[in-house]
Amino acid sequence: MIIAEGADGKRQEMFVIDYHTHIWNASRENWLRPNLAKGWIDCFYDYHKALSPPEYVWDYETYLYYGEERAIEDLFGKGYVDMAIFQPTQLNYFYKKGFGDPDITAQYMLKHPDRFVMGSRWDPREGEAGKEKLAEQARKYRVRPFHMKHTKLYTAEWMEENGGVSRGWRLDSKEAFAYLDKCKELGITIQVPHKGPTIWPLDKDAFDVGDVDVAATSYPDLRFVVTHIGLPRIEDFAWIATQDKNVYAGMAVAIAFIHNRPRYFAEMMAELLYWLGPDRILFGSDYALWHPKWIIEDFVRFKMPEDLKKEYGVDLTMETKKKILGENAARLWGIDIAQMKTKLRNDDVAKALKIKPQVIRAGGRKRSR
Amino acid sequence: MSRDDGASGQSVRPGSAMTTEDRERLKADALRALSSVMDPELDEPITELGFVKNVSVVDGTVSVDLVMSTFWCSPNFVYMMLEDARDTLSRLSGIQRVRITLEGHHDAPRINEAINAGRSFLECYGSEAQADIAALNRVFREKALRSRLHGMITATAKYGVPIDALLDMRLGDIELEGTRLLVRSEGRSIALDPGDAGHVFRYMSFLRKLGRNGGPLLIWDLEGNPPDRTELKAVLNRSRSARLSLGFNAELCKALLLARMGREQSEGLDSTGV
Repeated sequence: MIIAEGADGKRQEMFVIDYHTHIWNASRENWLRPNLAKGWIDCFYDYHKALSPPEYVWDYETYLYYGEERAIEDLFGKGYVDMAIFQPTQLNYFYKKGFGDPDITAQYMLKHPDRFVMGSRWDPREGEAGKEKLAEQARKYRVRPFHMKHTKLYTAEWMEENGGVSRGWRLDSKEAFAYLDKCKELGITIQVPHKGPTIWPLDKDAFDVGDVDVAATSYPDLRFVVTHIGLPRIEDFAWIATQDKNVYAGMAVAIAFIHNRPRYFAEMMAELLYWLGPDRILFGSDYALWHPKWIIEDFVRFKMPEDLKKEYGVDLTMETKKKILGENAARLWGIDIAQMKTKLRNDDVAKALKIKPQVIRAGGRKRSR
Repeated sequence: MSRDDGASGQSVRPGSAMTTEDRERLKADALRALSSVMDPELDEPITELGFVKNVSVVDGTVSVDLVMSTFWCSPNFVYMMLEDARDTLSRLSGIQRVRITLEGHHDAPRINEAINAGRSFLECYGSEAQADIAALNRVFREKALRSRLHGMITATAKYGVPIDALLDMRLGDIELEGTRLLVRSEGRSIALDPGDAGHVFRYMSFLRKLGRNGGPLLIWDLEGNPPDRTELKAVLNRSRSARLSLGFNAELCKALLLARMGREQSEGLDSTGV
């Protein structure tokens, strides 16, 4: 939790929900196909190094596997985050026990069910067995109403198929729609499609968000959080999000530009506010890709440049920041902020880490207690 | 990694018929040619993006080592760049053979083999691809056009050229001489800052590459259709989005490549015990 102090000296509490977090396992003993497993985590590490402030860059070994305790300290202890939503990533083709297997992730949630928000994932190529597993996870892990309300969809996942490898799937296929039906039945109302390289068939635009458009139009009562805002197809994403009111902007990756590339971040933010408005944008650090602490500090202090305010007719006000940092996600996941504030003030994590609300001054001065 | 890149110009191989000057000239020609190869997703030359790691010339063979910003760059876009590089270099006089090597990519062996054997993307990927990549290339060329259109419009707007006036103009009505922009229809001659002139130039050169020598100045698609006058504002907004998207992505790719180079360099040092 943070207390944001505006340039006018006015203070307000902001409850922080990070919609995109991981506790992954990329340790060497978990590498199934070493070339691919290393290629995957190396790419993450390059993202981490490219956009983090230098003092937040981890050493490579820590990055491979940092574990539960470190994550709790980083997210809730140092990182201002009140609740962290897991986005599990399976990757059984690369890693022996998966990269972020939902059943492993669930064990962290079960220990801290008010802090970690559990979701799962699905893949249409897993057929009926996959649906049964999803139903079982919904039964087992919905220990609070906000758990198991979402599934992360990684359409570029590689998978063994007929003795070969299939390198992805599309959200607008018949098989995927059967899963969306299943999700509705199970009360999994939020779909979090990731758009990333490489998708099958390989000649198609790897980041094309067109399939999200078809699914979002066909399932108006489901919500679609497009993670990484369709990067690098922002204009296509903005276009579909303008048409489909059940499409949301997941800021993971894009928000990490804020420190090293602030002008790009400002333009991006102006663009999103212009097309989507302030109610459908979600803050996500993609931890441990990046540490939420510096992102949140920069975000609270961020001022929309005057030329962009004028050109786009939008502003990043304290009210808007508050929505993006927590309120928008709370509404989606059905999290009662007032109730959770009370609950988390003295929970085991708050006690163990001595967590107190921190003041961040938008005036630019460093954080004080 | 550290084989002779010919940069020193000192190490002519014994038996080589080529003089050092020939070699240097061919290498310079090759680099110049590569600067016309664009990343279709980013609308920037691969040389600017840092994807060209090494160019060497031995006898009549030019060898180019390329590296992308990530291990996972989409094979379709990678293939477009490699094909373009191969074909552009093959057209240079004095070059008998072109050897393209993509490094550090998840499908490098397959792609390298196919590119150097002159195969198409479809032939390389068989049943994993469904159609050729020409259609995808078109989508991105249109994004690039719109992005450059936005650059041109915002640059000229600074000098008081309204978008409505641009809409009434023909391609031949605007000329760029150095940093002087000649707007013929209004009989004006404006000196632009180099940066602004660059935006106008980028747009004009795109049109020239499309093979356009006349017709309306403002076009909205590759067929050369002008934007609808009643939708100018919407057109401007969408082309602004396209420009931001390409720019944001290019920035990300450059930052990733830089991080990657640093990491691979330190891994190299580790493995040799230095």
